Amino acid sequence: MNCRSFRQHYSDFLDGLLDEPATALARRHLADCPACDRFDAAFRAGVGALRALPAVEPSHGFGARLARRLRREAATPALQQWSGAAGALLVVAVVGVTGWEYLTRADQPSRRPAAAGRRRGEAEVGGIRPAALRLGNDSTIRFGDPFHLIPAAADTQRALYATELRFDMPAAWAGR
Amino acid sequence: MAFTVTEAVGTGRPAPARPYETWDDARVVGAFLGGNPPAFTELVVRYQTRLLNFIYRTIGDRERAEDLVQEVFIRVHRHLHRFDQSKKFSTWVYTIASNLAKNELRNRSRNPLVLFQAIKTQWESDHRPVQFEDSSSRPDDLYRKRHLRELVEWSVAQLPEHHRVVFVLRELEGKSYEEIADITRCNLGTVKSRLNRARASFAAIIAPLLD
Ligand SMILES: [Zn+2]
Repeated sequence: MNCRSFRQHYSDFLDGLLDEPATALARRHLADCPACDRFDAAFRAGVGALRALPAVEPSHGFGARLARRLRREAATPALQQWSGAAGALLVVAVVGVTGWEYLTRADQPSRRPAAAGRRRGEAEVGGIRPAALRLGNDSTIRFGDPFHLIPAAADTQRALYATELRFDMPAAWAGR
Repeated sequence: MAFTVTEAVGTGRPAPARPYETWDDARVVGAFLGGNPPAFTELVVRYQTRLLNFIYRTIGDRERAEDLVQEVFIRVHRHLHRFDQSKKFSTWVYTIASNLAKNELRNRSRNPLVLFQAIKTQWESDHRPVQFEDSSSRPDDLYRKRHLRELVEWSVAQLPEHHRVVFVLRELEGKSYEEIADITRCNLGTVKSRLNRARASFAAIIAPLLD
């Protein structure tokens, strides 16, 4: 077995999926080849460190937040949800078009001086300076601070299907 | 997560702590669809931490991962009545989570402002002072530990999105090849080849960093 072949079959070797003769060949190659031995050692050390990372736990209030969202979803009539979704699409479309217009205008040198006069990060869309723009990917960008990108509150998601729901929330979720 | 006393919300009546705890997923799903809303709570309790870790390790953003886990449960709740109960619930819930994580990664790669934020966060974490949480450890041990942690997280983040999902499902979630194929809706051959490439890339990325 050469290095190329060893690495081609490395995954199967790790998972014990090679037959006995192939496993023996891979083991012998590993013993004889410092490069593949280093490769194998790095992989095992890396995965070991990855598995040793502490697990993250849902933050306090996760369940309460979810329960609120589920209740809201259940309470929203189907028609309103569809019109809400259509409205959101419309807003995205309008923002997209005006944003595109702004970007293409900003590319023109003759328009630059006005833009350069503003503070870094401030944007003007269609002649209006908005406080924030909501994007289609659930993010809100606040203008005036290019670093300030906050994930939109999870509860802005619109339900597309009405559901009958009674969600029993454990007291532990309701806040201690 | 430990649940001691629970209360059926709005009724004031005490409810037993995790009455479905010993049931398997299929029975819990059946109970929910049969008109027992607390069974949904059991599904959340069972999967919230697992899904949070899976999504977090895939996208690398703790806060956003939590939003996406919420979204997983909203979708589960919304579509559970259409779930084919002859299939494994865990595969289905991981499929939803994996799709949301992949979408998130795609959105990030397309959105320069999100990338900017990620770079800023990385810069801040690279420049923050070392925290000595454990006074029994020597500072250089702690530094090495934190450094190693950051190296492995960074190395995973370098993998292409479709390799990363397969890698996390196998190495961290311990899923079988068949389960990964079901979750990612790929055939076994694709899963095996992606996993082999992901593992080789991970080893190649991390090897010089560990020297
Ligand atoms: Zn070799």
